[in-house]
Amino acid sequence: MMTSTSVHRLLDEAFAGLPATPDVQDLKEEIRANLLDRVAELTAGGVAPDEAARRAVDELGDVRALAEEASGPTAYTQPAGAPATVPSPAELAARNRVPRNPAYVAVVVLMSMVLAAAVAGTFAAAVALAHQDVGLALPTGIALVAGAALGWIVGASLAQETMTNHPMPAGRSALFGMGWGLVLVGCLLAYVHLSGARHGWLVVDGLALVGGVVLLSYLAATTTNRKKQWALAEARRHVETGNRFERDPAAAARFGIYTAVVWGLTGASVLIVGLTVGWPWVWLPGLLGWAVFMLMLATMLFGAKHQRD
Amino acid sequence: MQKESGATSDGGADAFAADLLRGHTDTIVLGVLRREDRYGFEIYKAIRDATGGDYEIKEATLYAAYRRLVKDGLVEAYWGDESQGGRRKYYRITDAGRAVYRRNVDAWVATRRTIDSLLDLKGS
Repeated sequence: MMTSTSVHRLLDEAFAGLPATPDVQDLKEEIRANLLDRVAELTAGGVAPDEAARRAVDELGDVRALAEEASGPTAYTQPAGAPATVPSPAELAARNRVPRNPAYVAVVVLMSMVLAAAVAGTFAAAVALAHQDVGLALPTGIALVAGAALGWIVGASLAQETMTNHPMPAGRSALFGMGWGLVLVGCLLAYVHLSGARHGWLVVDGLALVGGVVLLSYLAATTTNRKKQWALAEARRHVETGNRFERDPAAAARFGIYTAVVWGLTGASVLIVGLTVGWPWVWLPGLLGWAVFMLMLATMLFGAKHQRD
Repeated sequence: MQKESGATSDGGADAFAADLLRGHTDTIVLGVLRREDRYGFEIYKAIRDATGGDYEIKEATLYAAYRRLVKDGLVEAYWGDESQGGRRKYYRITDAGRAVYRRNVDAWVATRRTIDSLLDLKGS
């Protein structure tokens, strides 16, 4: 009991007079847990509880300076008075340019062609299968080629270092490639088996699809940061500038109303086109509505600078 | 730091090593986190044990390193769900952290070679 009271008292003394910001509280709790561990270690070694608490706190070093740094809100941001020293995004981009790996580009182009051909080939083979011209092996083989090509493209792309991202470790990017490959193969084979009336096989397709989705979900849930330092700093600066909707609630409200109008009109057009011209054409008004919405978003959210400055 | 480097001339091998270690605190922490997520005291202990207890990096130095690493996105922090005692803040290395770790290790290996050959040159 003595132990913990002394540790808590000494910790309070070290943090006395500092503003209780979330950052400072966070640091204090983190240090508290570690101190208790160190005290437990010392007392297990035969040191008297009070002495252990004192030694643990002494070993910390200069916590005060650390806590003061944590309490200052400017610790994370650039000094406001020195915009000239902050390089522009273009300069930063130029400085952090990563040359393209020509072999990677060449193989990706090749693989993209393989992928496109294999997807088209799978559909063609599925039609042939429906007419009993070919066996199941041909469309299955082509679909597997498509999956492998997509998997390779995804995996190899993630493993590349880019201007803003560090490369993903090889094993992890391979798993990402496998996930997307499984999803594609599952979808393609499901189409093949549906059009060929081989419904028993749909179980396998479903398993591939679910397996791929589960793998991708796991990867997405455990994903960590790959952003480079300068890209993170850039992002922080953007957050500080804020976007227009945060600074200008009226614009956000207008945007909401326009959005409702655009999608309402789009829905109506889809219905009208579907009922008059025919349902195969309903994607056209849908696409138009989407384009109008994106244009509106672009002008209202990002075009703000011109109007305001 | 300057003062401690000065002490090496009159036989302070400890200060020399401690100085060198301190200069690589961030990379050392990344290295400790490479295999598994750990919390502050575990990291401190891992470093202390690895140095045989001869030199230690002050805990305050480590806390400063964690803040820097988190800010740069090389490490992510999260609170553990211990039911009893104080809750612990764990650190996990990110992909960016792994990439920086590898780069720093390569740089260290190259530097070590250079310094080794430079020191040999002087000695002979």
